[in-house]
Amino acid sequence: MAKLLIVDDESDIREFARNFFKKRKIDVFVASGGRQALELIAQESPNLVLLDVRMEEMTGIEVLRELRKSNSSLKVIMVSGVEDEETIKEANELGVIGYIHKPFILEELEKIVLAQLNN
Amino acid sequence: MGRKNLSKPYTEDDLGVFAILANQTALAIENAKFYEDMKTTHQQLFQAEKMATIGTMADGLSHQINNRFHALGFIAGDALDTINFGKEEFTSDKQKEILADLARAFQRVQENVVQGGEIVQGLLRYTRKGEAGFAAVEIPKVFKSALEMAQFKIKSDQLKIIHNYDPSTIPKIKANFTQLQEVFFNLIDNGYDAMMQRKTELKEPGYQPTLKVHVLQEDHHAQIIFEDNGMGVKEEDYKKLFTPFFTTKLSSKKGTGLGLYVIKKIVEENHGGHVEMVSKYMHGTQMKLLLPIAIE
Repeated sequence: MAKLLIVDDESDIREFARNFFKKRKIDVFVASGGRQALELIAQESPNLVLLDVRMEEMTGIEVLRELRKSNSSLKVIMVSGVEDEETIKEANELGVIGYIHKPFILEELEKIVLAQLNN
Repeated sequence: MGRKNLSKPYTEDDLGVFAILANQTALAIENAKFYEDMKTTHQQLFQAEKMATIGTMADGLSHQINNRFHALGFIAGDALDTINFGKEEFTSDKQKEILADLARAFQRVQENVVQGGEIVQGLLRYTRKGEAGFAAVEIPKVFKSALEMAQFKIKSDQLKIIHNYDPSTIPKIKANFTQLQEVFFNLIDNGYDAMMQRKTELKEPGYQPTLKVHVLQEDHHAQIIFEDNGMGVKEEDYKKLFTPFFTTKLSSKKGTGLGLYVIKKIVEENHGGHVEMVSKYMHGTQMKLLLPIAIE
């Protein structure tokens, strides 16, 4: 079963996104912050990570920098409400496969996630 | 001043007193002018501070609101999904009808989330500055894409657009394409609303809503003018127009009150340009943008 990790400090996002993707026979893991996300990546080796940019403990970019020290190939999609060109630039340099802006609807996310997991 | 000497209309003393009085009056006028200027400066400072505070607040609040919209969208999306997954279990017509109603409601929540998000994004994007994304931009291309953005609302058979410039000779400007597209979109949108308002309110026979776009070169700047023959702006509304959340549009559905604030912010703060508005109530409005020409 494909593994998806959702990193977001909003509990509603974690809960409802998990419900949604579980119904699609995807093994879903959730993390509420950067540290937990890095631990889960090491333990579970997910196929895809949805990573929120603005988080309290560590920003999405900080998580990504840390991750790339040991793992350069994991597929990461950044999720953000900020149209911040510098963040996008750095995320691209750190090898993310995409960048989506909040708010978006689950159906759109489903298409992106399924396309990446089946790829 | 004593009795007047008949051979001279005024004595030396009189003239001396007049001179003193004239000096005092001049001083009083100077003081009054100074006080007026000071008052205006204070008002401008207060306005600038207010705008800066609103900018900072808007940045933080926008993120919070955007996150709430996003969560709401996920909740509605998952609920809709649960209905779609389980609807086969419900067989009676009544049950099917209820599920269809619920599905429609959650669908509408999702649509509102996306629309709400667009409003927040609009505010958020332009509280930020930066050199990133600036390039030599062709004005006609920006206009074309802004018009495409407005197509969902503007019926092209109702609006006549006249381009008063030669696309092959006008200069490129140094701008961020996306931001400028937002400016042009807002100008087209505002102009269109004003023209539709005039059409509805004044009911003049043969009235043709017309938007003219002029481009002029002035030294190192390009002046772009959007001229509409819409309803125009009442004098008392003039000053308030560039303040966030102020709108003269009749229905709250029509305006978020961010259009002109966004335009000013993008053109003046992000591009180092200038925005000027000339408007005559019941005649129309000219929005003049001064933007730096790109050096290639």
